[in-house]
Amino acid sequence: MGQGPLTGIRVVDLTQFESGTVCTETLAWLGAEVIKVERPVRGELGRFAGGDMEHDAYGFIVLNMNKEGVTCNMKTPEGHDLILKLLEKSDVIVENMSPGAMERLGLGYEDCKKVNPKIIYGSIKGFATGSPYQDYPAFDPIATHMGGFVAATGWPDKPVKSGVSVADSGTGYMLALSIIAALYQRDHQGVGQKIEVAMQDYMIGLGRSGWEPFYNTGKPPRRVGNGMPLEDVAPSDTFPCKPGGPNDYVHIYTSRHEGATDWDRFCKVIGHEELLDDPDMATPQSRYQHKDRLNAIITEWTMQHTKMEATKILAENHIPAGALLDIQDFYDDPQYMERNLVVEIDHPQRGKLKAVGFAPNMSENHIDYKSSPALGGNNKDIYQDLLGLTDEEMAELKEKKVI
Amino acid sequence: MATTTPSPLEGIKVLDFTAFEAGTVCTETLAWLGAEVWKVERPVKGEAGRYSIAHPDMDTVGFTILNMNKESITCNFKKPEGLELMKELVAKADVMVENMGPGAIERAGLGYDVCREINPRIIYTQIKGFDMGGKGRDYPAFNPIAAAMGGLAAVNGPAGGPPMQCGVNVADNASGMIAAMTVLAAILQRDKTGEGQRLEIDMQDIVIGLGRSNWEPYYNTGKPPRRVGSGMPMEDVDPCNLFPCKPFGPNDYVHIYCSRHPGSKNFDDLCRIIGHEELLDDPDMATPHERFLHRDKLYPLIEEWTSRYTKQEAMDILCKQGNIPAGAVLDVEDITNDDRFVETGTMVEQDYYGKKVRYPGFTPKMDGYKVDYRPSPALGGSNEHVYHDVLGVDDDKLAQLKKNGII
Repeated sequence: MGQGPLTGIRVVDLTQFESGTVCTETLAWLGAEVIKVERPVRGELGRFAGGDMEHDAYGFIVLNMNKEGVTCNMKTPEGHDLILKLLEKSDVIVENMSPGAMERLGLGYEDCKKVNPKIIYGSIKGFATGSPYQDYPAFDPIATHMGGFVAATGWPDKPVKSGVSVADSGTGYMLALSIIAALYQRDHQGVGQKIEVAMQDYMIGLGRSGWEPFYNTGKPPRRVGNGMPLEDVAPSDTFPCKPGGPNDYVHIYTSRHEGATDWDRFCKVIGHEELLDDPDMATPQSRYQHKDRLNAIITEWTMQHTKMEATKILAENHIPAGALLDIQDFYDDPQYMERNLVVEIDHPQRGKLKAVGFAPNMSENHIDYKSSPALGGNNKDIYQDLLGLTDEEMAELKEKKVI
Repeated sequence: MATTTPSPLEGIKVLDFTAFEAGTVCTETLAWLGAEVWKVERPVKGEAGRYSIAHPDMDTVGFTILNMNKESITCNFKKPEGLELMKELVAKADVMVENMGPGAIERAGLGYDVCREINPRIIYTQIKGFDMGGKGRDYPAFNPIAAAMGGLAAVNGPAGGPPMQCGVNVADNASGMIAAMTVLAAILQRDKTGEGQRLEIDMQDIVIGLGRSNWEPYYNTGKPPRRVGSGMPMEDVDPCNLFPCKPFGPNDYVHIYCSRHPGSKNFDDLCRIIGHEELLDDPDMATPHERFLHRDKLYPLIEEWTSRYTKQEAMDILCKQGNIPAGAVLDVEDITNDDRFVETGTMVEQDYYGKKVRYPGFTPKMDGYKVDYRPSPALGGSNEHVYHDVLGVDDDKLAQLKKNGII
């Protein structure tokens, strides 16, 4: 393994599903040794998310790269003891269990601090401890609805949720950020600490630019579909492209700022210079008033091109335009692998497959991507080599289904 | 925990060339964690995001939200004397962050090679729309472009209908936050190696990474994930949707989902709560998928119940009496008016030209550190501190730099 920013940091990983696993996967990509602890025999629930009990789910593989796997039944005294021993030799513990579950397991912050006073204890919850909703069930869509995100997304008359688990993944990154800050604080000030990130709170922070229109108008931001949220201007929309499939669209926006020349260039590019003399099209606001006429003209042009052609033509003329890309597009376009955003891993059951790696580029962090671990695949490394258990002890723990 | 605890980034100095949202979120996060952030702005007019045509004499609300806890200095670094000042600050800084248009910082004479030569320990951070080595490197980019090009818009919107953008700047904000995380990692690495490095955070790539769980349905079905409106993306099951609530304003909805997992009691509990236990014996309602096929029959019964309550009441009843995942569609106004968010620190109260306003603060709760929030800086408010105290520029020289429009 290469030297990464977190090389030498050991993380006990009690996470499952997405928010927690994104956090620990990020720490692993940054070089930490992440020990994922799973139930004996069945493992994390996310391993079998698709109902196929024979093969690890793709979602599990994508979210658990570069980790080591151990099994442990933490509800047994022996299993609990193993985790405490592991904590003595670790820097960080991360969990995203339901409220109160860690305390019931005897692994609350106070329990962990007793065996390792400098531990960084990272928790993800749906709602903050102390919130009136703290015991309510929560998962990604609930946090996005309660975090102001869905209220801002959709048509004027109906909100719609997002198809990306922004609350899960985003909260995972936010906890990773806080853990790294806490590690730096520990190195320089000698203190450990507990960190909690609530998914609802993360979503509120993500939408903080929505407070600008709120204070300017006294009302929550409007929903505008694919339009410009701050002001009614045109063109700002998503237009259909050749060959008319469900994801064949391009988003086009010409700047509303005074002095911007986007619109002039745009009219030339689409071959409608007559619009430059049309009083209906004189300002971004007047174009919005006549957007039915305008959008029909634009659509006629976009339908002559694929989304990638339209993007290239417009962007090379410095008009902000973005093709509506989907996963198939990322899978097929070699540029994403060439620059290491999409990486190929070899999974023992699923074979070679492409997954998304660490998005930032760091000139001094060269990640060696590894597949997600087999269930208990590192029991020997961790329990024997690190904690010093004997062959007999290992056999007994296995026999008792502790590991 | 007492506020006297030193902050995590005590002593770290950040030279901040950011504007608008992606960059400013990064440096604001570092400032909240205790770094000293020197925000560099144009003399007279400041950052483009400060200014609005409607109120040219006031900082915009958006600027004050995104630039808390920073110090502002002015500098025209297109002039040789201005550039010289910046180079002196590069020598004193731990981190530099910029999110200018492609090639702009290099043309300004502050590219990575120049800065590394001055300070080999610098963490040099660039936030761009598209990878600087990739095909789109010269393309204009901002939030909706990165959202479209990152796979986010393709999965939003109604089943069978057109794609849809999000009303929150996910690409901008998440890129800034992940940039801050990467800066922190690079600082830790520098503690061990003594070397700085260049970081590049591309908005398109951040959005692709955020959506990586969608590779699960992609590999299972061989197709990109479908759009399902507010439905369940993985499978056609019900109930999973928004239902209208009293008093039927644009944001008066509650999202209700009954788990599709075998053994879940969510749907039984829902039927009991809404007073329709007869559904439990109805073959059309026997499985989550059957309920999806007969949603036209099911939805009116649920709506009839949700319409009797506000979104908050409906959520409280469903969660408390049935442990059913339910979420009210909260908007910015709901969140602002709920004092609890201020009490817990999710929201912070600030003064905006004599008016009390509330903005989102640093989301995580760290029990070893509490953020001491300060308002966004006045333009050039720290010129004296940074140029005089940090760089040692004397009063006469400062006056002269000001007179010549350099600062």
